[in-house]
Amino acid sequence: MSVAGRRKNSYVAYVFLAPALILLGVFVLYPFLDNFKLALYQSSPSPLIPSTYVGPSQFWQTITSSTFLQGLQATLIYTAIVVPFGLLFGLLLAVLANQKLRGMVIYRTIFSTTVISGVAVSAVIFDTLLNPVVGILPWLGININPLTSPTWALPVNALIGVWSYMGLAFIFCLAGLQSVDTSVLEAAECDGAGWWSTLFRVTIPMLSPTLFAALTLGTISALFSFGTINLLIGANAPSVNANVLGLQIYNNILVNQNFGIAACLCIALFIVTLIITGVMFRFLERRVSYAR
Amino acid sequence: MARVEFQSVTKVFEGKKAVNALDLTVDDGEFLVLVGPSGCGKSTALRMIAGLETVDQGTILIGETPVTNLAPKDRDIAMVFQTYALYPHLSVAKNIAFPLQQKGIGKAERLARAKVVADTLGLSDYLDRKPRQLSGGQRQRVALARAIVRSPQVFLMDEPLSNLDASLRIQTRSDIVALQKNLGTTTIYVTHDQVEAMTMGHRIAVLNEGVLQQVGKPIDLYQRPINTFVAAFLGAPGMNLFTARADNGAITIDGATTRFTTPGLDGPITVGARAEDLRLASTGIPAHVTGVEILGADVHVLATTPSGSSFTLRQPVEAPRPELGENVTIDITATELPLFDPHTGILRDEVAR
Repeated sequence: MSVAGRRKNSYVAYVFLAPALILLGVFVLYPFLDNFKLALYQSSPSPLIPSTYVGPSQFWQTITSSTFLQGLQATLIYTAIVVPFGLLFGLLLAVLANQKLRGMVIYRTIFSTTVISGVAVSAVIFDTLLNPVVGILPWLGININPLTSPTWALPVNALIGVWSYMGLAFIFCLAGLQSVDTSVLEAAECDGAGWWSTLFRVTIPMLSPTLFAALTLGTISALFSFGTINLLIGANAPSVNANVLGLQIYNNILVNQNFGIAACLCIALFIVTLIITGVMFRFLERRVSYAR
Repeated sequence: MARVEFQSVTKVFEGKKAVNALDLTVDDGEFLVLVGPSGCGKSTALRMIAGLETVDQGTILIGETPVTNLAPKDRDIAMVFQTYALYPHLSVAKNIAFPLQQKGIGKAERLARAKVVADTLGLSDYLDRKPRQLSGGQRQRVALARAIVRSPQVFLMDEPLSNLDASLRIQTRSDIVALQKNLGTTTIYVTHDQVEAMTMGHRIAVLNEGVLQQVGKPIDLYQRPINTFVAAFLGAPGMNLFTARADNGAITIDGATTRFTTPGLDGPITVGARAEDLRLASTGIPAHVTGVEILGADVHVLATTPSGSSFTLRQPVEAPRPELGENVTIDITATELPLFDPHTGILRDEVAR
């Protein structure tokens, strides 16, 4: 084919790619880049007055503020609870649900429902469960309201996060387990491996690509999440050490209408996410064994 | 090493008996081939020895020990799977050493022992590779090495050659036979391939629909199959079975008189004859040629008699060949022919001479 012909063909290719490129540009690339511009402007108190250019100083001020640092700490604690425990419980449930037992379909359905329970729904469920009067805590002899406790507010919301992420991890792990060649597990049985040994030396290593994918996606989503904290704690979040970065961004946009600060926080959270997932790829992905 | 014994073992899958009252003893050090068409229960029988399937009725003994309710890891058996079933995340050395690791043998010793076994199987150059970097034949050798390394009482092999290509299959076939001879370990080998059965085992056990048909040395089964199923299943091609009649002892096939007689026999009868016992002749049994397969040294002529008995005739490539669709006549050259009951298919005591 001539060079001209090849070039003509590549035009045709771009025509076919155009719808996807336009959507990507309008909804992903443009907002992403525009966010960097927004971060350079100080928002005015009213939409009628134009915002003023302040430059990168706004970003440095934002990320050195105590609000941001407390938020970063809360976000990291939240993620450090949600992801490992959610993945562990999801894996355990998947191992249990992968047995061939009567009625297992029902359990599989139940275990995976936490994925499709919306944030608002789970917030209502846990608000009721944690209610200091009608909830389960007084019944268990615990007489504090964890949602107003500076010690417990964040961990309790992280537990809700564990509950919710567990379902997704469960689906990932069950799909992974079902694609494991059963004769390999049978070989382990014949080779003298017991249940635990098979789980740790054969099943989990064979699941490692699945686990790594679930870990990465779960980490990203946990770093950005704020839904139940917003619904269960709301404006009290800073006073109970639960003012996670996602919540700060949300409040700066929708409550304070301070788009400049929100944009700076977005950039900071983006960088944090990039570093954490980068570290995970650098140190964990090499231990993942892909079957082919 | 030990003998393996099935005592009226039955396994039921969804109301159907996959293995039906199986009685079978595999002697110490013996190489026994379990053979039959797919779904005959041979793999199920093997998996029951391993403990990968439960036993519904009966007892399985390994040595003197009833193992029916023991976990696979407590039976001291090693299994080789059709799909190799290697641990994809472990190197060849660690795959081979895995059973030793489970026994609690220290790292240095188990890797040393794995290396010795790998050497005997020609795997020394691949110890650090992952299974995905190996060819099918190499993977199967790793699976064999993993079975050998801990010197189990019994080897169980479930169609270990089925995923290999034809030439490698023939090579590995003789490798496994040589290996078993050297080690002297009791081996039970499952296959649907009757050539593997004929060439590998000290004895063959033929299964059909969960029922043991016949056990014996390959040549005995070939020459005196106990029923029409074994007759047609063993050999390449299987024994030809002709619908025939005996009139006062004289045997006729499709109206053609033969020189075979069985004194005192009257009525319908099934006559067996191997492909090598048939030849084209100027007179004899009429047949219509439905296929001519030139295999190289031999030619298989596939034909059907007017009454519908299909058969295969083998002749040397130099002999004149019939055309496809030609009508021919066939002579039987054997000195004696086995006779089967036309209804039950069971071998009769008398033969036709």
